[in-house]
Amino acid sequence: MTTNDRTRRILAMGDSAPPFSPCAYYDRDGDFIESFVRDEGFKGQRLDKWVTVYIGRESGEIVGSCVKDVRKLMALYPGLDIEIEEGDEVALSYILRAPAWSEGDPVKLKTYRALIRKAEEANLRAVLEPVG
Amino acid sequence: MEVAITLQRLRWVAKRGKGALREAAEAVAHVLADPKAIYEGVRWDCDSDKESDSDDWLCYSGIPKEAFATDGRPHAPYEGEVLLVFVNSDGVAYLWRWDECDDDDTTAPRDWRTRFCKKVWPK
Repeated sequence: MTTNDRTRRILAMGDSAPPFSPCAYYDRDGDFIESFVRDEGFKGQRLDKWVTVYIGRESGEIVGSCVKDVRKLMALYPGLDIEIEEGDEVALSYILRAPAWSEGDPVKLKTYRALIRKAEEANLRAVLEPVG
Repeated sequence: MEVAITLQRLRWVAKRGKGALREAAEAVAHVLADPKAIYEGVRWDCDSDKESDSDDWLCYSGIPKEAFATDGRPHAPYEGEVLLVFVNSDGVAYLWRWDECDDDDTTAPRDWRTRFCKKVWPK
């Protein structure tokens, strides 16, 4: 397959895509949850080692986030009491509460609260899959 | 190393429209083929010992020829930013995004010295 063929095939995937709606996705290859509440270009702003906030280029507001090392996070905070079975759906706001709980910086904590609020308002949920 | 993007990932990217898909097909491919730097240890814990907690996951940093608006229109790359492409040990490019560049090095992401275990290319 040539580069042009590959590009065309990837772009064609957009033809049948439904209109944007807030969504979250667990990626087992990277063990992270990515979410979007708004369809807007963004840049990443690293909050800490767990979370990167996506800031809209036009609005300057939070348009999404990426929570990394989800399994490690849950292992570190067993109080979350989330047991993963194949196909289980988990609210993103639950996951975000773990790093938020241990965050001592008031500015970062404020960002965490905004992320949790947006995740709850949009009812963002991701289907977690066991790794391996 | 041959790097791949999974179909599952592309389906997720497609939810954000043509711009996101063009970024995956063109800008990400550019960074993987012509990175300005590659860092190792994407998941190392900066609170613990570098050596014992390092891993072989990679972050490619680069500046593609073009960035893309949400409707797919190309435009100049974002000034003062780099496109980061994260690759796991299986050679899967699982995540990418634009990120602010470092104050001292416009081809590197901000705080690269503390974010990653080490720089593996160029040495």
